[in-house]
This record gives sequence, C-alpha cells and structure tokens, in this order.
Amino acid sequence: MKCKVQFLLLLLFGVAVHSALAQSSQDPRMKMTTETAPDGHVLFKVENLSAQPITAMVLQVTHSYPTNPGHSGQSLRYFDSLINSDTERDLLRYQTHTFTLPKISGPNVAGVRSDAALRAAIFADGSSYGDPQWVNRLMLGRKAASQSLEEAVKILQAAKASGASRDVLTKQAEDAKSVKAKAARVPEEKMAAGQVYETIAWSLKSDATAGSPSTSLSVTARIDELISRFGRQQQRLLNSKPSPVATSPVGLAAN
Amino acid sequence: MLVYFASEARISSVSAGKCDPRDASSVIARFDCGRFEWELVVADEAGDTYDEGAYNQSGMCGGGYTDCSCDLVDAYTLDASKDFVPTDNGDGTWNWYWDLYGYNQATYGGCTSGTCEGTGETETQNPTVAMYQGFDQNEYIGCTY
Repeated sequence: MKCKVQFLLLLLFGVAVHSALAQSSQDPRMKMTTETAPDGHVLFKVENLSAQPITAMVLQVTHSYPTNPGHSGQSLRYFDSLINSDTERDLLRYQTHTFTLPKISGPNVAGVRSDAALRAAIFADGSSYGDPQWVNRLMLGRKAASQSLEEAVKILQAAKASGASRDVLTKQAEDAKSVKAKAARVPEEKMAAGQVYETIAWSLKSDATAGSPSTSLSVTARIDELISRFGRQQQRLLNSKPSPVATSPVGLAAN
Repeated sequence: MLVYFASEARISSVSAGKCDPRDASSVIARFDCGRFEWELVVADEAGDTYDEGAYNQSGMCGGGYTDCSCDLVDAYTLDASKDFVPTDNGDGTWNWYWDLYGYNQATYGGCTSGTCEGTGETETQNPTVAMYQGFDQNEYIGCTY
C-alpha cells in the first residue's frame, strides 16, 4: 500500500514524495487510504471498521511554501453528521468517507509541500481517535453549534413576539453571526455557529426572492419552521456522546 | 495517517495588490431540480490557484399541486448557489470558506382552511446552508505588502 501511494503521487507531481503511512498510528477501527483521482486530486479515504458509527472527523492539510519560508497555511476539512445533519449521515461500519485534498499551483505558491493527516474522529459511543486537542476542537464546534441553536431560537421567538420584519430579523442573524465569528477561538467554533445564523438569513432571503409567491412562507411561518428545525437539531446534539454541553476549552491548539 | 506530497517548483515575483483571492470556481454539472456540482477554486490575478475539489449542493423542485384556494401552483425549480467568503489577514495570507446554499426536499401538508380545504395542499420550502465543510487558514498567495 505504501509503495502504491508513493507511486501514484510520484506520477502526479514528478518529484520525490514521502508517504508517512508507516509512521501513522493505525487504529483498528478505521482504514485510511489515499488514491489519485483522474482529475489529479489526491483523495483521502476513511473506512469505518468499527461497529460504532463515526459522527465527526477533521482532516488537516498543512501547506508549506518555499516562496515564503517559515510560513504555513492549512486546509481543514470536516465531517460531522450532527452539525451537518442536512447533508451528512453517520458513517456506518464498512462505509467510506472521502476527503478531497486541494491542488495548489501557480508561480507564487510553486513547490508547496502538503502534509495531510486525519487529526481526530469521534464515534457514536463517545470514544475518539487522534490528538486530544483536535478532538476537543471538534467538540468545541459542537458546543458552538448547540449554543448558537439555543440563542437563535431565542432571537426567533423574540422576533415573532415583536413582529419583526424580514429585514430586521435578517440583520439580527447576520449580526449574531459576526459576533460569534469574532469571539471564536478556533475555526470550528466560527464555522459551526455561523452555519446556524446563515441558515436563518438564507431562509428569509429565499422566501423573499425565490419560487412561487404562494409557496414562500411568511416571516412568522418561517420563524416557526426554523424553531422546529433547530429544536430537532439541538436535541440530536444534546443526545450525542460526548455531551457538547460538558465540553471545556482546554489545551486549545493555536491553529 | 500522514501523507506528504509536493508540487513542482517555479518561483517568480508579483506586484502588490494583484493577489486578492477570487472565486474562480466552475460548474462541473447541473442536475435535475437545481442540484449543482462545482469545482471550487480560489485564484489570484498572478495565476495562482487553490483547487479545493468538487462540492455539490441540492436545489429543489416544487409546485405542481393544487393549493388551498384550488389554484394550481405551477411547477418550478430553485437552484443551489454558493458564496466565496475570503478574509484578509493583513500579512499576505488569507482565510476563506464557501457558503453552499440549497434546499432539502419540500414538505407537503393538508389545508386547514380555504375552498379546497379537503383536497388542497400546502408546500414548505426547506432552505439549507452547508458551511461547516472546509476552512482554509493562513493561505499564502504570494502578495508583497
């Protein structure tokens, strides 16, 4: 497998490539492989070998630039069936999730070195894989989502009680998103909280501009729909393991 | 598991101000009911690109039913869409992510009033946002400040 990965990457980039598969701490609950897609993207695949579903993962791809020595950027890729409950489902036994790694090219980023690693995963029983700091970051994202859902419901209830207009409520959601982004200590908090408030703003905008007028909800009806939707998502988060409510921000990584 | 890979080296300079990242994504495919698949790409004017790969979002098909007033609601499609959200860190690096806007399947219910209370339907659109998928942090695109 190691040789295969090296060969594929050598074909892709034409330079020396070092796979660190042998150094990785292989967890018997997961099988990780890489392959190169026809379009040249490297695919990082995680197969769940455990009876426990995987509910969250984070992949970190660190970029080091020869054109800017000492500096590194990073691409973070998330999977979370609780935060992204609209689009992602628990990764069951023998199911595979595929992360696509970025392709970076051009005169100013040439020679970029990328290191990809699955930093953490959370299983449905509350157990985890990976660096505890990264597990904590995933949990901080869930806590931010839970808190934002709770606060968003309060905003929606107040807007309904006061008869707030679509524009006023949209601005409240955008302001709340901005406040959360500024307060976020890690991207996971910013993105998870932002998704909640962006959902409010997008729903109101969609009602105002899209589709048949007879199927667009009134502000009050949309508020009721969002409160119901957020309530269901909040319940799933609160029922999950580990509990996002109990998460404490200890040992945060700087990036 | 850690995988390391590298791309070909080629270095040149670029003038300041020409490197602000922009959304250079393309549509890979457009499916029924407003579903889009994009190749999400960040680019600057100097020719650097960050190709994040293929991402998709669902739109929705609605209408095609009789409402509570006995009016036929014409069938319609709502497309998925996206926003590129970059942030300048002020040191030659940028953060960015995408908001992918779409819809879950519409939900339908009965009428509680109206002339077609017994036979008409109500339709509720379910807008959704995918944001917690990826985040690029401190990405260098070669600007000289």
